[in-house]
Amino acid sequence: MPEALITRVERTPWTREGLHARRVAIAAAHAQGATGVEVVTALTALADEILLDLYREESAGTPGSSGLALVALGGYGRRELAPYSDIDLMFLYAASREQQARSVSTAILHALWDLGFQVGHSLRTIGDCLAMGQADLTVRTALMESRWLAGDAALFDEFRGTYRKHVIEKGVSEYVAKKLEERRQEYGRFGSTNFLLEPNLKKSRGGLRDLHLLKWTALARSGTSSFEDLAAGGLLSGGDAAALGEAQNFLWRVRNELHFHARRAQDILTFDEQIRIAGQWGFKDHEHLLSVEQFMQQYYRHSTCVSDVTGQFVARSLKRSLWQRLSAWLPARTIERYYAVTRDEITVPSALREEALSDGVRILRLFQLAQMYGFTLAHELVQELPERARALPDAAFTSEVASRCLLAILGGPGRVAETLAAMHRVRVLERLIPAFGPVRGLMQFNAYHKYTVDHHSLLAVGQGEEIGAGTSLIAQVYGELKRKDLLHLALLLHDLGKGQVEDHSLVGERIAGEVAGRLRLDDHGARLLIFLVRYHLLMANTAFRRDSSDEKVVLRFARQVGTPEALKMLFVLTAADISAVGPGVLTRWKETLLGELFLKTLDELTGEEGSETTDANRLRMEGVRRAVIQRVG
Amino acid sequence: MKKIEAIIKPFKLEEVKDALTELGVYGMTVSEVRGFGRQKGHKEAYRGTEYTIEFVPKTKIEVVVSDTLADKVVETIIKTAKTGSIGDGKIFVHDLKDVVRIRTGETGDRAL
Repeated sequence: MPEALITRVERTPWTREGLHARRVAIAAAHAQGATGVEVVTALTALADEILLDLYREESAGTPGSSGLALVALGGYGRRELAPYSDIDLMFLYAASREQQARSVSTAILHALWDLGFQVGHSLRTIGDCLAMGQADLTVRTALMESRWLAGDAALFDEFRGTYRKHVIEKGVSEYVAKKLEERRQEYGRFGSTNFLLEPNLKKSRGGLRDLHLLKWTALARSGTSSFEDLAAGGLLSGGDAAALGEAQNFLWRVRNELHFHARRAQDILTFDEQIRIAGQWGFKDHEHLLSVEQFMQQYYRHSTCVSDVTGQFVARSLKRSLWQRLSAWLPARTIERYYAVTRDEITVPSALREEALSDGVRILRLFQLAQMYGFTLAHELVQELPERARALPDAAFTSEVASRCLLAILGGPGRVAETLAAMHRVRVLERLIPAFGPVRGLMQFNAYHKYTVDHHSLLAVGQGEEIGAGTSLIAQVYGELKRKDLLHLALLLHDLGKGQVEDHSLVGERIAGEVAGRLRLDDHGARLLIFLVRYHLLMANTAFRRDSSDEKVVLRFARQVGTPEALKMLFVLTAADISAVGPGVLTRWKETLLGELFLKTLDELTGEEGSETTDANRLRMEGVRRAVIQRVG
Repeated sequence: MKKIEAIIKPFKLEEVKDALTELGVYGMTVSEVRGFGRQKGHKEAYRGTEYTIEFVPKTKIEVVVSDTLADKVVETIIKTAKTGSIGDGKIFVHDLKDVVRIRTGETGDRAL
């Protein structure tokens, strides 16, 4: 008896019920704690099994070297199927077997549709693949990830070899640049920060799509997309490879949970789902930190890692401009003995690294130079610094020189927020301001805020700088501030008291006091800083909820603020804080109310009369004058 | 049914909201608005630079109530939002044809 017939007899055909039972078993394993990798692998294996059966059945009687092969593409090719992912298939055929390819593909597709799969499919010869891969970015990418499932293996190998030579290895830099551009446009639609409070697991920044971008880049450049291979080849550090693996596993597990629960391809991690998953995964509410906030902190940690590592990886693999390549041959300029500077990058030569990076002040000086000249930190430093910073004793960051360095960075001018963000990324900022560590990725579970506490704080500094560069009343006041370092520091600290039981303004006040001590601020500076953090909500509350035309209200506010300097700083801080809540939150409405309170209070504090030259006032004065003249006359 | 739209001073919002809630008003829509009436805008000067405030910031509240409650609502807004000085705002009362609760399809007073 022919072998094909025997298998046919023994096999029970796939039914919706049969498939459902297998899916339920995988869902049960997931619910019992199976990892993200285990579940996507099991789902891929299940799809493979079905396709092999279908192929065997439909192509029965044709010999193995039939000139027809069944190929998995895209995410299915990568063995990364989520519970409700589409299945992307290609029927690859030798030109002479078109008839057979058509009939087999039709039969298989019908069977898959009947089973309830969403299928993307194509019928192509090797020639078609080459032509379409060269012409279309999406096809080019999907074909790079092809995986042989069944049929003519020799035909598939021939396709792989030709495709690699004529498509994958051609115009790699251009390909990577285009994919990067495509991804940037996607950020525009799905969230350009990885600190969104309701992120799309696939498409928001730091989502799975970033991992895909890294894998596509790696495949195009070096023919492999496995993190371990990339680490072995020196293209990723061991630490980055491990962190990416962990992040991928986490994102997969959350996505599997979303799909299983919604029974469809649902990729948005909504507030409701966050609460449900946090509870289900055993996070416990504490008085100061909700379970959902703990869960999301993990999400932000992983998505930040994905977005950072991918960004650096892709940037490294992009073709450099002629000037960049030439300048790479030029000797790097040396600054202050330790720092080597090329046109736009600053680094420390490896021979000097031990000496330079085992000293807190030299590390800070690196950031200060980067800020002053607009350099970015070389990738190897970004990778090395977190470990270096962690290894140093606290004293390395609390010396007088270190404090002066940080205050100089905070004072600017220019690129203050950018520099602080770079320091935060490599975990240097939390060595200088320890309270910055616990708020990394700490979400604020309310409908008002859009970002995590650390991101909001850094953004607030950036908003201060940006508002200050405008032409508004706030900009003018910002321009007059003598201690911009203190304002920026207050913006950085104002919300660090969040995530604790006590009122965050009170916790913040203590943190500000500690930081003032660490940085050796003089009495005046320390008092200002502590005031600004303690009362960072006072001006907004007064302007929006009290009557600023009521003298008693203004007088009371003026007494609380005390000096014109404190008022000016609080005014800018309030606007920057509101603006950093989310795009469009600082409206003209709020600006106007804040501005009115500011001017009235300033009059009160400086004792200046009539600095407010309103038309109404002028009219009133004219009326009084006329009345007096009439009476006298 | 009546739709009552009131433009009030921003700091009066809490007070008006509390008073209306006490009266049995179940929902309200609030927005930040800017505009001018007889109060007009004005100019502010800071260190020689003039900043024109053409539109004064106000808060708009919208409530929809049954005919029987309408007068009481207007009266309450007047009582709570009044300071007596210029710019206290205005109240607009509209006749309303219908209300539909989207979730259940209920209409009229039942949907309030």
